Amino acid sequence: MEILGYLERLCRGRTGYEFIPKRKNALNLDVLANNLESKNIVVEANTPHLLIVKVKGTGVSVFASGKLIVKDIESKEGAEKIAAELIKIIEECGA
Amino acid sequence: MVKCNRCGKKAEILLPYGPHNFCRAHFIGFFERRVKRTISRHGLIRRGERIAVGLSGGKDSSTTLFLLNKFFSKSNEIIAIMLDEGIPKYRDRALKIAEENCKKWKIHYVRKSFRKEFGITMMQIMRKIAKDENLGSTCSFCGVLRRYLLNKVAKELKCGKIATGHNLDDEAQSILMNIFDNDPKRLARLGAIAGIGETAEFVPRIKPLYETPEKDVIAYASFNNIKAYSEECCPFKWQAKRNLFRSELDKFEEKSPGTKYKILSFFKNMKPLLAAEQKKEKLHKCAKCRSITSEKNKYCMVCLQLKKVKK
Repeated sequence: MEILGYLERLCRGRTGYEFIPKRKNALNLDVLANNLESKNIVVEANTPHLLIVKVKGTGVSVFASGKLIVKDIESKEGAEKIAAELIKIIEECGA
Repeated sequence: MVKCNRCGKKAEILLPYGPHNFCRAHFIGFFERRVKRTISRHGLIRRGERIAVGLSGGKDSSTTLFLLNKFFSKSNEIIAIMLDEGIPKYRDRALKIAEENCKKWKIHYVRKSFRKEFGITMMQIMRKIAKDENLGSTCSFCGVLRRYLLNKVAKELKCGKIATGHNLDDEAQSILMNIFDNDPKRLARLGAIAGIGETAEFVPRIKPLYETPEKDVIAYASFNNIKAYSEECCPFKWQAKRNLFRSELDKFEEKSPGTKYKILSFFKNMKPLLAAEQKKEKLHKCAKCRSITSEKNKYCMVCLQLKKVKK
């Protein structure tokens, strides 16, 4: 499964996956954090340049540029599922 | 809404190991107090001492430099040392950011390269390893050469200490790696002040972020607009044995918050016992470069590694 509009690759440590938007983005992280919390996704850190969130126990960094890093996950499909869930929320809330 | 434990405002960071929930201002205060406590409790920095900071351009070393400059710029001279291992499209980009930070914070810096110092770059070493796996891993070459060069430059600059960006996650991983390798000597060398005991040959390496989790460093750097290179990891990172330990430890931490601190506490309790192991360690002089080494071989690790790839 490829996520439309995103470039997907295994991170260099080979312990996670990166999802990089093909088009330049500038997310409003505060808006996104509020939306994620309303959907019961734990936002562990809301900082000016990135959010650190937990999706079903998996750590994800969401950068203001729109890049996502799904950490410590072996399954490509599992990483894609988590990324797709987050991207859907990003698009819906217009962050 | 999760509230800050200190002021009741909206929490911007949750630290499950506490657990603590903090707003930005209280997190920054908490973070800085913890680093100051690490420095004072372990006697990492003496007043007036010239401090070198090994600066890669990544978040850990950039944050270390930022903090030491913030805390000690009036009492101590801080100098950044940057090492270019010769990994194109990675280290050159990271060091560009490192230089920008030094200029912004008005910190003197020196930049050295593997090419000039050793006559070989990490890319060239990697190509040799690709042809002959028996040479060892890329990371083992890089680590040995980096530590040697950092020490050499710090000595030339008459620095009393070398600060590195190692954080709690790095230390917990290293402790476990040495236990899994059954290597008590290397384990004994870990700690807030690392190395093989006091000799004039070695500038002690200190780790101000030794008791600070990586996630906290990422957040602190972002809250303080510390620019750090985060686009790409090292292209050889996948080869590092450390990845397995990082990944598994993170899973333990997720299930049982505070695991990394507990590993560090265990090590701190063991350290006095390990000190005996460290004292047994005999130091020798390398037959080629005359530098001090703990290796029983005729040559130090730097000369041994370079000999392998320069054949």
